[in-house]
Amino acid sequence: MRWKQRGIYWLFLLPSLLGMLVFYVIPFGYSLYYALIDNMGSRQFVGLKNFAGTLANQLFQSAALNTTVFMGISVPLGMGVALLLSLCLQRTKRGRVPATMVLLLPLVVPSGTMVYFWKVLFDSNGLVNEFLLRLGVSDQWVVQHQCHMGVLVVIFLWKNISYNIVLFWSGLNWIPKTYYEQMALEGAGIWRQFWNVTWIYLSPTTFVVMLMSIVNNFKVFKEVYMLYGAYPSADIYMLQHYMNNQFLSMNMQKLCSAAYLLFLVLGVLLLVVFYAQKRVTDAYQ
Amino acid sequence: MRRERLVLSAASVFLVVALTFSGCRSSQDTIYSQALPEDSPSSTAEDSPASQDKELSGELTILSVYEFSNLERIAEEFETLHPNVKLNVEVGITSSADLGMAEPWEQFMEQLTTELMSGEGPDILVDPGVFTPKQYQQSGVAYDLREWMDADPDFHLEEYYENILQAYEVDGDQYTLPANFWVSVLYLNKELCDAAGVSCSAWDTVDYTEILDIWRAAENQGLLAQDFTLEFMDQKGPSSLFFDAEFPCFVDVKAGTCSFDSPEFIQYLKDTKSIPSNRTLSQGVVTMSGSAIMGDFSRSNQEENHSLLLYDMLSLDSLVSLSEIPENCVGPLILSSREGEVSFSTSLSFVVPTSCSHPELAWEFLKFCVAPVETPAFYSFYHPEGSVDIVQGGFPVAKENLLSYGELYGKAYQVMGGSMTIPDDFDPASMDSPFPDGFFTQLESVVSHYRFAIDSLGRVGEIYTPILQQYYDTDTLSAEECARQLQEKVGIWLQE
Repeated sequence: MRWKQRGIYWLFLLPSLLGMLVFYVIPFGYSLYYALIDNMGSRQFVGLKNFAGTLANQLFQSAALNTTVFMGISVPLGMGVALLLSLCLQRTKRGRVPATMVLLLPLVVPSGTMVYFWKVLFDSNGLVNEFLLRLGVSDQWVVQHQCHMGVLVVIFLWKNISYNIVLFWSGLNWIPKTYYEQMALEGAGIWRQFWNVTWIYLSPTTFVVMLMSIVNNFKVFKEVYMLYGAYPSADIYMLQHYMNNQFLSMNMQKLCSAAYLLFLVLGVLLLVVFYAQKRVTDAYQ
Repeated sequence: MRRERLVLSAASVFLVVALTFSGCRSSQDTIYSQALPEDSPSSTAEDSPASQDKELSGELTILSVYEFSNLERIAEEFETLHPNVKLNVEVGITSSADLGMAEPWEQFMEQLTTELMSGEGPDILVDPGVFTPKQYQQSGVAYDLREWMDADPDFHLEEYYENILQAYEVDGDQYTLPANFWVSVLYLNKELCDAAGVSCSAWDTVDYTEILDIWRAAENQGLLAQDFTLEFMDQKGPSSLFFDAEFPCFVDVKAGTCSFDSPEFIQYLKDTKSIPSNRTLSQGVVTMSGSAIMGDFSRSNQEENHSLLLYDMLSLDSLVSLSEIPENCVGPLILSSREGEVSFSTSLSFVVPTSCSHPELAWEFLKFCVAPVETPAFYSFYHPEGSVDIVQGGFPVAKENLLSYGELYGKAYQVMGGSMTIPDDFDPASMDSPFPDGFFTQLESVVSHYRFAIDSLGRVGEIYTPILQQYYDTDTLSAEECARQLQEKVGIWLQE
């Protein structure tokens, strides 16, 4: 009976497992082969030479640093702002529906439209620079003090904050109201209620949001690429630029070795997040 | 349960290892042996005994990145010589409206890159410079044609402009074979040259600093008209005119370094922006050629000096006009960088991807497009049986063809006048040469001694053009900031 049940599970899982195998696992395994050969012509096995070359590449190092900085700023900021907004939404009595609609708008706006909007604002001839020039700032100053990383963070927040709000909001709705009532009866203020109830019961959701934010961090490339092209200024040159440009230069070896290195780092990072989540959840239970 | 896991793990490892190492055998040697058979066919298909002995057969797909209508005619000529050969000519960017348009261009490039890397590319790629020789070398997606050249007893490198071929060389490898080339030439206003004390002879190289000196001296002496502009008819604008020539001075592709942040480049930017011109970078380039335009240039400067130079592309089409240079013009002069490197362009350069199904046939076709010919043709106007037009007005890469095609082009222009039709009884063999004795010997010698630098460096133009536009056109960048941005972005491109 157990074997029969297990067989049925596997039968239902089979289509998606096959899809995973064909579209993800096999190409991913095959890309390891490309990372271990010298080029697509002679295909000589070179061991870890491409990995060593990629790690020693100054541009790769700079791209990795920029990606880390971007992640370090945008992930906590995106989570914090989303949590704040979802708490505000939860407490709002009037106008919750229109506010929710406005906050969820970025989820349904196509990337092209969004990039056009950002281009109008942040392009070298955009509205922001126009405004600064009208304020009397010199055009040379405007050009020299363009905060590209800031623009990127704003785009990331705009694009992903709605998603985080949805997750946080659903997490907040699962917390029983009676807990807050009990805390209020015991004389706890809003801040104490947040730390002792909301934060604790929201921790599984927080980890999910963190996980998704890290993953989404790598998905903002499309907008950045459309906004600044394949060769942006050095301070926002990310790992995705590096890999995308290696593809366009037909350098499969550098591309695959960089992708594997990124996979390893990201894998370790996600494992740490999972482990931390387990530790925190166990501690609260 | 543990057993199942063990079996699954072993199967996964086996699968990954099998997939990883299944293609590890080197295929290059096998492919070279296909491309270079022991009885390698000869260079010119129509007159070579070897190719007559061994009839070629097979089907090739030739992909041209841009539309190049004459490629189909060349393919047809080759098919006529070899009835068992079928050549399918495909074009990547078919609509001229799509040129420079981001989306169709990027879609095409992504598709081409994917096909080349996956070994499903065309048999021959006509690459106007979208990939650099170094990229071909690093990726290994194209054959090293130098190995084919060296192994083919019927291909003699010394018969070709080796300085042109060397421009494409990377570590002794040759991935691109150009069939023709164009060089930028200038004609200067003689009165202004004399006033500046500059004397130039025909075919001398001249760089932007010398042109600037002439302009400054003329301005100081009050010799310039009120509406003076650098170029006659403002064909290119100072940025476009000089940047291609100076580019090799500031970029060392082989070393992967650039020096746009140097004081010399900043000075270059300031100097070239100060020259009076009515054409911006975004307006593109106006191409004009021939003796008529030279006459106009000469006449425009007779009363007052309205312009300093006339820009032209040296091609077979314009050789006749060299004998009619007006007295108040100096030239032709070759535009070079300050270090004496001369840039050139080509409309027909071939790459053979490793995905080529018939490397031997591809090499024969390449030789057909570059090798010395017995009977040249003049576009579609004059095309007797057995003749071929492989130069399309450009300079042929085979030295011998310079004489044969040059003579024909000169005679054709002589009979055509301005009508663009050739009389039915046109017989070049019975006509006298329109060129003075020793003209082609001198020209060949001159061209052979230039140090050529490739001007097509992949997609780097997409990086520097918007920055230069901001400096020259919209005036939103200072020279220092422009130089800094170029250094940063081109530096990234070089280091990748």
